[in-house]
Amino acid sequence: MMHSQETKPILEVNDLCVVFKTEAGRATILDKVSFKLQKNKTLGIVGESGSGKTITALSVLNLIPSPPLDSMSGEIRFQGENLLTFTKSQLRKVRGNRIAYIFQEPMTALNPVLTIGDQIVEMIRAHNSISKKEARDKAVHLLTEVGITSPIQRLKNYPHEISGGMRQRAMIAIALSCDPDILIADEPTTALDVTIQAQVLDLFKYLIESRGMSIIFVTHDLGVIAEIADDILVLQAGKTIEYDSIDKVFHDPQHPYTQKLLSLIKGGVA
Amino acid sequence: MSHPLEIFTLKEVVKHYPILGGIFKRKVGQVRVINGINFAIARGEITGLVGESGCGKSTLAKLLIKLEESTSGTILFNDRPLDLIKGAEKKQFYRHVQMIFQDPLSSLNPRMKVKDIVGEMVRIQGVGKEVEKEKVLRILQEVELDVDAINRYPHEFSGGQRQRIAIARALIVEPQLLIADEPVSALDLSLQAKTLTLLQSLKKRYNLTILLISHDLKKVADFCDSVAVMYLGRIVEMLPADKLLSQCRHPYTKALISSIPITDPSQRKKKKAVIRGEVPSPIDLPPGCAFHQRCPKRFEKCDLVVPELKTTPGEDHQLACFLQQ
Amino acid sequence: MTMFRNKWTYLGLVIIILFILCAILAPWIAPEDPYKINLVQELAPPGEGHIMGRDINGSDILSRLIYGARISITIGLVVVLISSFVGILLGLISGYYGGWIDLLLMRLVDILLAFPGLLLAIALVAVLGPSITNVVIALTALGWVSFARLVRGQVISVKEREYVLAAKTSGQSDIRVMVLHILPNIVSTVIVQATFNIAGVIISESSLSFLGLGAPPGTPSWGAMLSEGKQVILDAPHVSFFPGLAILLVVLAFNFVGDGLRDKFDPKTGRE
Repeated sequence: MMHSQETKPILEVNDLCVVFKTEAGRATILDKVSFKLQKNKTLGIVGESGSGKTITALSVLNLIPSPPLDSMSGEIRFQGENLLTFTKSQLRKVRGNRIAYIFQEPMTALNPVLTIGDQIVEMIRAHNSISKKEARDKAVHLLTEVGITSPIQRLKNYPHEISGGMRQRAMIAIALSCDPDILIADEPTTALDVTIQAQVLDLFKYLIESRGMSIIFVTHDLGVIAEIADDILVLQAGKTIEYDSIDKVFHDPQHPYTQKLLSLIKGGVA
Repeated sequence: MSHPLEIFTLKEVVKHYPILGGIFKRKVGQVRVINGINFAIARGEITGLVGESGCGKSTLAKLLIKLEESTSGTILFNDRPLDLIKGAEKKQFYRHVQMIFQDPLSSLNPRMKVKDIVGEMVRIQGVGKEVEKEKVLRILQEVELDVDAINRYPHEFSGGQRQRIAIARALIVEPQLLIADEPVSALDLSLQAKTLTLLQSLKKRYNLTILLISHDLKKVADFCDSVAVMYLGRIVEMLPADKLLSQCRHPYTKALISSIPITDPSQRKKKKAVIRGEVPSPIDLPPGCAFHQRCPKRFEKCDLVVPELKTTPGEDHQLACFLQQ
Repeated sequence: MTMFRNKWTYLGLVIIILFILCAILAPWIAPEDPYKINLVQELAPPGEGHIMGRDINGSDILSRLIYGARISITIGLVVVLISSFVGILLGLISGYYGGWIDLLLMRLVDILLAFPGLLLAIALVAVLGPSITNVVIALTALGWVSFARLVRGQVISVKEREYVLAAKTSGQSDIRVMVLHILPNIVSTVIVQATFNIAGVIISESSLSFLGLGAPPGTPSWGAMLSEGKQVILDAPHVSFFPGLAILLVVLAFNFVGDGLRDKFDPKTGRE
């Protein structure tokens, strides 16, 4: 199932298990999920609702709230260490700094009472001791890089004052502000119109090339995955269904579930 | 009485919402959601209405089902002006036109049992308990739900099942027209196809006309007979659904089609024309063609004059663009 | 799965049930006639035959307390029942139709809320004349406001939900939509508000009786008992202590239950 890799992966997840505490007792949400993220490549994690794909993304930096989280086991190897063993303060140094997140709904992920500029500057200065002015200049560069026009003006805008597409770009800018090695994007284009989605996917492709980033891209949309991912992990009910390179999975899917999903996007009404 | 060929005919329909400001709540601006729609829904067909968020398609649905009133223009339902339909006639109207909504969870009353959610549609016509029960059981069977669903509550069902309950509620009165506002967007991929197939078979059985509102062009191309494309409150193109993906002519429609992610990773390297910019705000509507700021083919006239929706001679294709006129 | 997450809620329920039982069974469980005067034993401290002591007339405080429960709880329930009914009605109409009806009603609500509630109640009772009936009238006339405002807000948030839109497009009357579709989905917040309001009414009634504006002198209302005790508070503190404790306990109890109900109905912390 796994393809050969010559270089050491930048992130390696081995036998990740996540258990929740529910009214009906303990529930295994993720069951021995394993994958590798290669440097400068994109891993797409795909599944329908309830597949556990968002939980997988959140578990990398231990962002699952407890309750309902009961326990996590396995290994998440980053730069030679197992992130699952990290203390809160150790994780804080990694979050945003080395591994950054982008979420689906920028309106709830962005702080509505802070300007875009403030949020970027706050993120930068949380991990770097530079002056406010230097941080602001960096913020302008970042906004330009993500394709936001009139960046100096935008710094002063509040999230609700700008459009959905721009908010998503702003969120990407915040995520990039500390030059992270890994970007974890959870359904970043799902809430966007299809033309804006195309723009944002274009931006992702540009960032991968220009910054040499490694990205984990979580989505239910196989079409988006086809556009952007190098490798693909298909989840269903917390279990790995298929894990291989994108070409292999799309042209020669092994598991009937994957085959069914692919047929749905290629064909029309079944 | 024979029914007219067009169930709904819209002429120059406009819907603007006033923005009130200040202590005295005076009108300080307008949200121009719908700006002159000329459109007809042909009886017996599945008509698709596509557009991105903010184009006004949901508002148009609300106008058709009398949840909102138009600011100006005429809407005819079976040749009768919609704004004249009141009182007892309005009650009758809702036996002819029904709607299903996007979110299966919030479209069902969480405190009512399924038998009441579906049954009350005929109960208010005074059919009597026996008839009501029989009709409820029959329609639930048609949407492939178990009979024991009648005593259960919405939260006990999955998203796909809830949407089928909503369909049952709409179809129990055997309407002429079903307006489906993004009926499958909130469902998992595997359920989307199933639900649309169900709608197709129900359409045949009940001789329905369907207006399908969606942002998913591929589904619309597969499922509908004809498609209207909306942008900023106007219809920019209307054509047979099987021509949508390959033979559309309006620059916006073309941009929409090219924005759809490809499903073949090996095609990834092909450079796509990604359309720039964002949709202008309906509060600050640009003059001329609503799309001119983002149009790759624009010329002077586009900035100043609104193109009319004109039928291409000899074809079943309407276009609102100066390029081809 | 337990009914309530917070144990204090159960304590509150127990206290309320206890007081309701006192109110219902007063003639059978009160050791003495609450009006019986016993001048030999006036102001007797707690002891044999009178575990809560005797008041300024020698009447047994425990008996008066038990009978007092009748007054407090009856007034509490009656006021809240009527005011909630009125408030729900006005709130439904106001929230559903909006427009000038809503504007008018909300201005009225704002005006009423601008005054300190108790002062208005005092003024009303002073005008109408001190009696229990007038206390009920005054508190009801002011009590509907909190319900109206609450219901209106809830209606506004619920009426754009898709199932309400579906009901509107079914051809049924507005009244049906309001009663069958909107009301059942907001009733839980009303119940929570009602619980807190009962506590508030009990305090208000006690305050009014304390000021002599409620029950006629001699009636075993807790507030009146408090008032009687204030003259002898240094020599015979038990006269004020027990009615004060009763008010405290019952009000706390209703607040605990209100909290518990609110948590239970909140979709995030409980179940609906």
